[in-house]
Amino acid sequence: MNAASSATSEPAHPGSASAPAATRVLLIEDSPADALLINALLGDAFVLTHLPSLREGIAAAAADSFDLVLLDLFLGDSRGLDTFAQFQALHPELPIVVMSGLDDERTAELAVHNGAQDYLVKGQMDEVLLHRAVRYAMERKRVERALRDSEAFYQSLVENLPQYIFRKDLQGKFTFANRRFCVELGKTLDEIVGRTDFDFFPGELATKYQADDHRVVATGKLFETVEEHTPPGGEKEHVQVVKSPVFDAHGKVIGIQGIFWDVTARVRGEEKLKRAHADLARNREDLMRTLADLQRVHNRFKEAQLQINEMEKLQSTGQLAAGIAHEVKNPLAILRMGLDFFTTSSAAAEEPGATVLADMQDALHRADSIIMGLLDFAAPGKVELKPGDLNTLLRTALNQVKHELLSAQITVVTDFCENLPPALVDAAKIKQVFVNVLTNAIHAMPEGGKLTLRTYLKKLTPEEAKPSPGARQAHEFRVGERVLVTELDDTGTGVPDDKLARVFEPFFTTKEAGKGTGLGLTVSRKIVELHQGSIQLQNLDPTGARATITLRTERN
Amino acid sequence: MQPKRILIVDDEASFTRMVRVNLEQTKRYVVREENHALHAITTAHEFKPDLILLDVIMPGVDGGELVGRIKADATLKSVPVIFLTGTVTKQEAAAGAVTGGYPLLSKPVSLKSLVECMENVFAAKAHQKD
Repeated sequence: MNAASSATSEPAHPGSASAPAATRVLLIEDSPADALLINALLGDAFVLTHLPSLREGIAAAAADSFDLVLLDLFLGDSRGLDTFAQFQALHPELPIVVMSGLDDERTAELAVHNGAQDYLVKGQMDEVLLHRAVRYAMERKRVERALRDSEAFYQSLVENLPQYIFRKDLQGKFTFANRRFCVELGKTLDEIVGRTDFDFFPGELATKYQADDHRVVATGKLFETVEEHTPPGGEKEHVQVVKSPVFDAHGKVIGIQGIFWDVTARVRGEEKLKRAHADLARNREDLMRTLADLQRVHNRFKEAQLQINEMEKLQSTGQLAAGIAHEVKNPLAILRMGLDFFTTSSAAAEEPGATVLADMQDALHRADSIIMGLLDFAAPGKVELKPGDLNTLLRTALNQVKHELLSAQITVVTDFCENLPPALVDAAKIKQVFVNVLTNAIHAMPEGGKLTLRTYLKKLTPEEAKPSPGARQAHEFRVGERVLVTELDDTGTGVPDDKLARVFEPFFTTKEAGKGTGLGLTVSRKIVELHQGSIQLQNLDPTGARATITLRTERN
Repeated sequence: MQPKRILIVDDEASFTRMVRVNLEQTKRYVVREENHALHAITTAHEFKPDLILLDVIMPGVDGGELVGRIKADATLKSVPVIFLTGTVTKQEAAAGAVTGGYPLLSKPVSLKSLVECMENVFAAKAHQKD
């Protein structure tokens, strides 16, 4: 078997060739004359031990240590090739140079073939030849030993590593497989060598393996991958494969070698980890979504709660208002009848009685207005929606306040969009809203000013469909919904910014005493919300305020 | 012309007194005040009114219930009724609200409005008889 030597041809490196100062030579020779001659030829550079028989020679080699054996093949107790065989079997570590007579050179050559380092022919050796033969034999033996050690080392590695190792030639035929690979395939090395992947693996896999091999051969580079692998009769597994080219002494690629090992557990672990990771990510996403949902629900709940609170507040305010209204109306009714009584009396015919009665009538009228407002505010919410023309309603409302506009010297500018689609309104109630807002505008401009009324149709953008912070909308508008917008701009004092948020609260007023009930905008908002619309108030730059009323053209 | 007999039922004595004084001053009406709703039917039997002015919210029995009893009473069922109430909204009052077929006047009501309303009712009744 050719073990792991690869591109670099020699794994062992011979060291310096110089022999130690006193080389110990064991001479096994039954001829005293030959022994004497050899001793003379070797000279002082060698320490010679001479023994005349194979038996004694073997014993001496066991008892003492020698650097080399000079072995005569024809001895008294052993003859021919067997002499060498016996000695070598017992002392394989020693380099042996065999000696023979002229007529036995053939036997000597056979001994060399069987492992002797060299042979010498008696009667043909001189000092130089003998010295060189001894030294070369020792050096060869040393190199041989190193080579064997090295081979043993690499073979041990190749056979004991937990990896599968193989080599193939350029035709894809196996030239080597380590024991583990043989076991994996369930074949002996002989059954593997000379065959290809197609003899052992499914066609699909074999094709892939060969393609990888070709790549290595073509590029001359190392190739590494993790791939599926199915051993014959086994279950599918994952292996990590490293394939590299095998070069000859001239650097030409002559095949490939591969090493692979089972990473199924690792791959499965990684897959499991990946799945767990994905699951975790999904769970996290789910959690985040749930959290967001929860947050949204929470926010809606909070909004709803705020609305409920406000509704409850309004409801109790409404009940209170209705109660107060009823209780106050009776005394007002008495006063009214009382005033009517005096109006028909003589006191009413002359001053100051007439003025006093007129003032009292006026006060009564004001008190009654407040109470009426309270009742409107407290009245249960009901609207009858019918298609109506917004511009007509605005003109009617304007007409209703024309005297106030005139006396306050307010110019009115109308910028009505004609051809508006009909609004869905309770005409009387929306008119009341317009009158309320107009009245507020008039009160905001006691020194005169300009009132601009604008109507237009608008398609809501996502930004506009979202209720602005602080704005209360009973019903959210849809994005893209067409709505009717009415804007009333005045050039008055505006509302202090810190009070802007409170203008829709019941009984909140910025007007001087006697001018407002503090219910106008509250009632207006209630009405607009019954229309599923919105009403907003904002200050204008540099002065004035804008009331924006948004109404629907169709049922929600 | 014989003065019309008006029964006013309201728990507020000052109010019924004011109405009586004002109406009787015209010499066209005789007014009887009743401040206890529960006694209203008895008083009506005794007084035999041509018209009843009825408050809506009263302790004991309210105007709506009382009108039911009046209509169920053989001798009173043809007597017209006008409601006087503090719980009507401006809009309802402006629209000339009518409840259960009876006119509804919002307190505080002026003498002029009250007389107009009463005369309308009498005229309608006279028209029915013709």
